[in-house]
Amino acid sequence: MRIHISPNDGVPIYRQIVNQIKYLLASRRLGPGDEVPPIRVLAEQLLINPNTVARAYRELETAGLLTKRQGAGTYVSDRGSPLAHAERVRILGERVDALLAEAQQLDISLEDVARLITERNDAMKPDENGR
Amino acid sequence: MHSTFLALLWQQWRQTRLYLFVVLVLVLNFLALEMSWGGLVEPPPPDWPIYLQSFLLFAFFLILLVSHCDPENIHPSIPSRVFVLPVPTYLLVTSYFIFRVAAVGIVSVPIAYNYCLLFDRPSVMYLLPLGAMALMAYFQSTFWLFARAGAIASLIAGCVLLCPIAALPLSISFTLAQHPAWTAAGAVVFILAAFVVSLVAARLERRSAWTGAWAVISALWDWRVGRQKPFASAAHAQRWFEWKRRGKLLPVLAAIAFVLLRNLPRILLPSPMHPRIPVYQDATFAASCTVLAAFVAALWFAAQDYRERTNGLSSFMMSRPMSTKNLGVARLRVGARSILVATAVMAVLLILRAATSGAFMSKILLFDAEAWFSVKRLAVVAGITLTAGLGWLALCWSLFWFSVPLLSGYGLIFAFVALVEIAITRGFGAPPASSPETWPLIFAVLLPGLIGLYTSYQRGLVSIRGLVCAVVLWPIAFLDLAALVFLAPGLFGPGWSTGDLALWGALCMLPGLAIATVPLKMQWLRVR
Amino acid sequence: MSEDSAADSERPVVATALTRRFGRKTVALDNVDLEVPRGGVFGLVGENGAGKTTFIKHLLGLLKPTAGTVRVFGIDPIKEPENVLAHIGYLSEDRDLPRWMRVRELMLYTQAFYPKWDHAYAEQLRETFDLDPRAKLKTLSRGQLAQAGLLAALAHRPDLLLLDEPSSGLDPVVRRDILGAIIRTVADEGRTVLFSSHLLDEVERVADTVAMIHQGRVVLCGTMDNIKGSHYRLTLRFQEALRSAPALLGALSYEGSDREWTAICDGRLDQLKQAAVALGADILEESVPSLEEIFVARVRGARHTKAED
Repeated sequence: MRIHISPNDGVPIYRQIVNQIKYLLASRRLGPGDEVPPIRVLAEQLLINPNTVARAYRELETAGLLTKRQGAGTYVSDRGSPLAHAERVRILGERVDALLAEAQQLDISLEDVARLITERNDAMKPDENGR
Repeated sequence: MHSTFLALLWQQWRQTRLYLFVVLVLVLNFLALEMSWGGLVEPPPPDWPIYLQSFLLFAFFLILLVSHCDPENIHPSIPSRVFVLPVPTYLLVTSYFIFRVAAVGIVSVPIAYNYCLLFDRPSVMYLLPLGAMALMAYFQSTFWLFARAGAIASLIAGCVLLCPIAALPLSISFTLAQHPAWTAAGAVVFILAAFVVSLVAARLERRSAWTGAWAVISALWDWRVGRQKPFASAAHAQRWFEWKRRGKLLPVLAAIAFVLLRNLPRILLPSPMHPRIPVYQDATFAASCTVLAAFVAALWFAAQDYRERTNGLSSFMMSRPMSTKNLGVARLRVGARSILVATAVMAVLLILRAATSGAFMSKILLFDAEAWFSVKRLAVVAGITLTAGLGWLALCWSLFWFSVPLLSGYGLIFAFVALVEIAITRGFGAPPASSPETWPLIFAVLLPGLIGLYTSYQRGLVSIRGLVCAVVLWPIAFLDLAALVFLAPGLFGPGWSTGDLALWGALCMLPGLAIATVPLKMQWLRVR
Repeated sequence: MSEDSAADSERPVVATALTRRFGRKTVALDNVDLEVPRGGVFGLVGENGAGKTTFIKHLLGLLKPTAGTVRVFGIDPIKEPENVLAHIGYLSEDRDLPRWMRVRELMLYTQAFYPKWDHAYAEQLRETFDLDPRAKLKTLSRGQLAQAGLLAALAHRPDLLLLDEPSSGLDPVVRRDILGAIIRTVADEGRTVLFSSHLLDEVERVADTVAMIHQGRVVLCGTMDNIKGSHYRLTLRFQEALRSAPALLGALSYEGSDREWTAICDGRLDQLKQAAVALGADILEESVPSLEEIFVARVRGARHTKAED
């Protein structure tokens, strides 16, 4: 599980972890029933305080995305389609905002942007089937 | 090229000027001593061994003084002198040689001159400076060639192996003292040879083509490291630490001092000598050698690696989970062990030397009543030497640890050396002097100490506690020393009584009081 | 009270009104009140010469306070140094290790002083750091020397790990080792780490609680969340160009020119916004500053105040 954090981002580190795990869930790179690394291991890997990791995991547990099994570690929970969907849409919404702001800067019209999206989607389709 | 050379010389001067200043002070002291001696002692019988060995003792300490008692100052480590790199090697080596060897020679001239006047021995004038310069050149070249540890090893090996062997053919009719031109030429050749060796070695080291002969030997030690077992307790570990670091120093120094300074006269001088001289020499020298070595070892015990720049104790030492008292005990025990080993080494060397001179040996074996040297007295002298050595070690150690600067330490050494000189000369029957004449003497000995204290106070090295301790301990040390020396002749003369022995023994024990206060001092040092 | 129960029940470090003077003029620590909570990473931050090393020396019993008290696990380190030091693993700023020792000798020597020494763990650390047991410490590079010192400090699993500028002058690989060691220590229940550093990005990653010392005084102390939550970086735009920095209440330092100024501020966001509006400025951007920016802002601000005085 590849997570990158940058302390100077302005975003608190635990929040970055939460966001990235949510993104991994949303993009299906983490599936239901998969194990996430123990707090200790992830802390050592990222070189951050274990408490920060613990906090991120707690928040994800409260949100229902992770479950802790007694003595066996922390796993992605099986349930939660509606929540995951809402999260997914929200994440994507942020990206769309960024895209629109950039388009405005580069002086590209909304129709051009929409056309571009469709074009790129068609180009990507064969790859997606093999997912 | 000229300005670079001058720059190198200037660097040398800046490094060693403090110690040259010390030497100047010592010369002044010596003049003062001469003034007090003038009316006290009639010239003893003309015997080369005693005076030459005294001169060489002085030379030895002069070299140490000029080189700051630290091999690294004799052997400059080239890689660390980054700014020197664009300089040709020969300039570097020449500057070190010229400065140090010449400095030793120049400084020893006034001392030689005084001896010359005092004892009417003109040959001393060239013999002492040349000998000192040759010794210094030897040190320089061995350190360049062998690196630090290897140089020490070669020094000991040379002294132990070569000198007794050279002492065997006692009937040398050709003596260097009788042929001054030959002596001078020989010394010059020696110095030049040493210079060439240094040049080659420094060049090799600069190109990293030479790791030093010691590296090869120490590689053999490596296999030992894997087989070391854990320590039985924290106290054992701490004692190992102290022994490894400085504990071996005293035996090594005692051996060097004894062998070097006792045997060189025999090479240079004719036989036969006065029959009683060797006996006196050995006895007094054995007794004074341990104490002398204790001084120098104490200086090194108090060396930088225990101290921070602020003259406290290093944080590695002080973050050991061990009480201050136990830390002090470990160090004292190792110091005692050092003294024991040093005395044993010297006893072995004494026997070795005795074995090479038949007359001496026969005297011991036959227990000749005429012979001073009986087993009983030997035991007594050995016992007193041991306790005196231990006591002086503790005293010096505690003195130096209280930020009493090296200048005072050197002053103390000089004082002792000077007083040993007096003891040796007085041993030939002159009575101890009454007090008025000894006042210049006392002042002359205290002078370096006072100068040292003042300069360290200026540099902010002395704390109030240190000052108090120095002021209290220094006079005690001196008085004890003086009494020791003035009573010593009685010990070796025919009229020696048990009372004399008791008093002398008590005076030797006086510095041992310092042992009892060591934990307190260490506590003061640990927590500032 | 036995040693073990002391370590269990008491807080690792409590300093109360700690003052330390050197000579008559130098005040190294001035009325320092600090408490290190159990089981976390405590970052001590400050300029060079601010008093961090002096503070740590008090914890080891090497310095006696001129006023105030220090207690480590409830014990006075000056009165009972062995008790205190047995629970501490210490790495000094200058890696003060005897250079003549070999690595294996250092391990054996240190082992003799700590009954809790874990030999297997020590060997594992030695292999991770790739230290040759026969190598003399003076032949080791700077980074390896720090690793050797860290090994000696870690292997007996101390209750309190004291690191004085552990990362200074080290390459990134060794720095990662050190950070990893800190994290592993803290991950074990109940063990505490106190480290001083001026590499603030590291402190930000790893510390739970931070104390900032400036010229012997504690200027800031709190959990990382609190500190980062109470400081803001505001970018203001003014109607007219300003020749000198605006005087915003609660701002610590400014950067910028003419109409746009960025300030690092301390306080409540709504009050700061009101103050900005009162000065006639628009708030272009607000964000959370990094620990380094907060630190620099505080120190610069203090210097300016001093200069004005």
